[in-house]
Amino acid sequence: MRSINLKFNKLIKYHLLFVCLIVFLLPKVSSGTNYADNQTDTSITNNNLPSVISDTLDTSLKERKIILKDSSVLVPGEPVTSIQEHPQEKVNSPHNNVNKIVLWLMGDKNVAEYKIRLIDYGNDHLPLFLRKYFMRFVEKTYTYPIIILFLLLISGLILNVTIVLLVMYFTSKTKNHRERYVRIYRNHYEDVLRSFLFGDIDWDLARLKLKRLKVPLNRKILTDVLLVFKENLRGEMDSQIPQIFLKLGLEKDSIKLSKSIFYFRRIEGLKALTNLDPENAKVIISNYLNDSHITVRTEAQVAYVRLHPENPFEFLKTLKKPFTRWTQLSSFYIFRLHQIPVPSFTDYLDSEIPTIRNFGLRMIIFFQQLENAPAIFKLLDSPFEMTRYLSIQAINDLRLYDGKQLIKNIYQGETEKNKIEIIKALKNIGDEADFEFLESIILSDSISLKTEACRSLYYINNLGRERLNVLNQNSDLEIDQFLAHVTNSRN
Amino acid sequence: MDKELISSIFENFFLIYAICIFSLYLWLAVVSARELIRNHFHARNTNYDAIISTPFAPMITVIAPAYNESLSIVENIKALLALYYPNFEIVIVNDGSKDNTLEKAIEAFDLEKVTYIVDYKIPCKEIRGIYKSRKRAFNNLTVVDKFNGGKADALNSGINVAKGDFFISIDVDSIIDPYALQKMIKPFLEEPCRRVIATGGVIGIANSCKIVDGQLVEINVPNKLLARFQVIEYTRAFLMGRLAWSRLDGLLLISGALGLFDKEVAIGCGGYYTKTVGEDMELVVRMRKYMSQQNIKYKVAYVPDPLCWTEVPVTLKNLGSQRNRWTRGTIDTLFIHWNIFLNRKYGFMGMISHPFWVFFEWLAPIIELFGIIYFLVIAFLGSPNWPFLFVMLFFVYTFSITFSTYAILYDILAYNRYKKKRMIIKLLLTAWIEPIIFHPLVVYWALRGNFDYFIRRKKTWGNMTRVGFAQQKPSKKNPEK
Repeated sequence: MRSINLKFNKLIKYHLLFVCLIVFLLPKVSSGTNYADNQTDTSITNNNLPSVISDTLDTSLKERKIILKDSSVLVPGEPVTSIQEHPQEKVNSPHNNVNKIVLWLMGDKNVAEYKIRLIDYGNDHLPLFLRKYFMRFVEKTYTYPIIILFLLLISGLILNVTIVLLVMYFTSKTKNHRERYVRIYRNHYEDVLRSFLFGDIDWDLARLKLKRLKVPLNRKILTDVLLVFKENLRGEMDSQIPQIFLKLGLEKDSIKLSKSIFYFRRIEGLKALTNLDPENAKVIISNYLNDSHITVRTEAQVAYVRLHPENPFEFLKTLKKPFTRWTQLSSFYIFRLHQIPVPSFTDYLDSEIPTIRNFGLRMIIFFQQLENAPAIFKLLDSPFEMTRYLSIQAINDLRLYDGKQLIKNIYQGETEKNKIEIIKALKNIGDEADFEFLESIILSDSISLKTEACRSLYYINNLGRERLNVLNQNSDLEIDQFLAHVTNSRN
Repeated sequence: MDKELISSIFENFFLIYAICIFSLYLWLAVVSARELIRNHFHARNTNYDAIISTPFAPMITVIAPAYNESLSIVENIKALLALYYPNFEIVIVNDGSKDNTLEKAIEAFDLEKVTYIVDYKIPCKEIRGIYKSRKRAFNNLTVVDKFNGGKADALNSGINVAKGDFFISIDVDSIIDPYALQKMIKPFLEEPCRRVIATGGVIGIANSCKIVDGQLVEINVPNKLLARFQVIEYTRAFLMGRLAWSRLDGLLLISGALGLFDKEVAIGCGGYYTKTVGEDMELVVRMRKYMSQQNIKYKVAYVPDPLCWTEVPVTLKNLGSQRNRWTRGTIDTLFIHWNIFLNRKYGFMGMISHPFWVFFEWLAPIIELFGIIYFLVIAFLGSPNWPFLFVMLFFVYTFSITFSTYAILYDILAYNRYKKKRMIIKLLLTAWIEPIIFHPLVVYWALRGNFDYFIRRKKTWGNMTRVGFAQQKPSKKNPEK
């Protein structure tokens, strides 16, 4: 609800701007000027035109001078009338007859008030040198015929298109130039570093050949090259790469980046430090494990897994935000890629955050951590469907026979997805004692449950197959069709 | 009421409507720009290797309805099999084709009919048979042969057969980016607090592009003007409209050519509605409505990458028929779900998105028509202010080309698809003549759509001729589809 309110507030903000635009375009309560008076001779002849035009033009001719009661916009020497003092006069003016719908929609006072507000805003917020121009702008938009405003808008749009075209041209040019520049220096740095790492040249010569390292873009290119080398090279060279990074002082750039206000720069910094300066990274990433930005958080958590092989998922104990599936996948990927020793995931099954519990269950299933059975059974009572689903899956995959009765007990109250999982589990951990249970499902209405029940009964043992044959003969359930389906490994 | 008051009502209404539409589009453009920037940096920091190599990747079912696709079915299935994702299956639904679509698939992939128990969770026309390949390489391919029932019905039967937790609905004759699945599943996996129910992607136009073995290898600007107009239109719609709506959580339409859905939610709300020609929009609206009614926090996500390429109509007849159908689909969806209009219960969708579609998508061409009629009346009864009229027209024109030029700029900045300067110049020139040539046609087709919907009560897809990507020969499409 709060987010909806925020969106409405945003909308109101945007629409206030839009209403202001309407006020600009329909100048009803404006002060007459000599300029406008001059315009009216021609406009009066076109009086049967769309009201918006004639409205503005007539205004200039017929409207009496009404100036808002605001000291900041008083024009010395001109007669002053306030709207509030002469409401009848205003309503009777020909201009207002034409625009009564808009006046009805927005209210007479509002129209005047917007102008006052605009002027007050200018007085209160704008710098002194701008104020004069702003006042003039407000006055003129309330005074000039609408046609001029449209012409101004058209000029603005044409200018806009011109700027866009220039941006297109220069963007394309700059992009191409930058791409070429990056390519050239990337190749150069790769060549030099390759020569150094393979022992063709010594460090002093390599340092000399690494040109333009004072340029931030070049330092970034070099960092990227080092990251690629680090990812692809192993053995002695692998340990040399971080040393090059430190020798060239590139870690300072990365530390600076990791403190940037822009999240994407923070990520860049974290990535470089994690791979090339692990000691510094260990200190820094702890600050970002609960970062408000999900991408930074993910990067920090993945980096933690990489840098703490002794206990890669310890951070989950201090996590305050959900551990999304994407982050789970990313962490798991790094975990496997770097062949980090597998820890016990029991602790995470007690986490208050459901996504951490689910992750723990997934890991327990994947790494077949059988010792966690009691904790898994406890999770069958979880209020979260996914947690129960994974617990049933764990009982199935780890062949936890003690859990069989537990999952059968919860069957009735489960969702269809979990029911299917329970039946699937019985295929692996079930026995003759479950035949009746499965047969009752076969006699139920749900096709999906029936199919799975047939599959389980068929694969438990030969007795199960015999029971299916008996069922097939004694009923019109078309069990043979189900059997044909479940025995085809492609289905 | 006197004449002056009536004219005042009309004029003020047209003016306010025009200002509303302009300001809303400007607002959407600004939101889109911010979202594009956000996405640019977000995508830069994403490592898709994590999902490609994981055993935990959720299963996705790719559902592709096919009707009389014998020209390209084999190539298209091959392209789908090459999708780069670790856990997916392909379900091709032969929707009662009258040509040899099924036979071609059987022959090419060594398919055989298998006994298959189908759980009809969503009602659909009877399935005649399920075909699986004898070759292990095509283990994840299923071909469903069913009686003709239209695209929505074919998709429903695909959902009934699908094994995955998510399904992606595509047009079989579209070209899907090999990385589409991993990109589209990401929003489902990274959303921490809300349930993502659907993801849409950008549709690119493949006319005149170079396609080899069902893969897009070279992007070109279409040679035909009508297709080029549609490039501008699609760019505007996807990069300046839908992107902004997704950011505002008000996206009501995910293109039928490419959309990834949460199967459980789709089944929960009854699947595709078969009695409408706008089944893609209708499903999204119904899924959103269903989630609101269940009081579950949800999100419809959007991936602003061109993940699907499709051939657009290049003849006035086909294009008119397509636009006519889109209009009827829109009206149908808006009316089927009329109870969400300005209904606070449905949040942003009820208060903003649905009314926007009513006022600025459905009613826009009708109001435009009334504006023209009103002007003609004025022109006959009196003497209109010609200078003002021309200034006004020119203003609308400049606004329109500014908008299109920005769309092209967004495209260049976001994707840089059109590498040659010549292509960009071609697009710009097309954008500048589009309001004069293409827009009146679009308005006309939309009006025809309204006429067909309200007066003729037409509910069918209409005729469509498409040139297959593979052979580039014309094939007649189903009137039902």
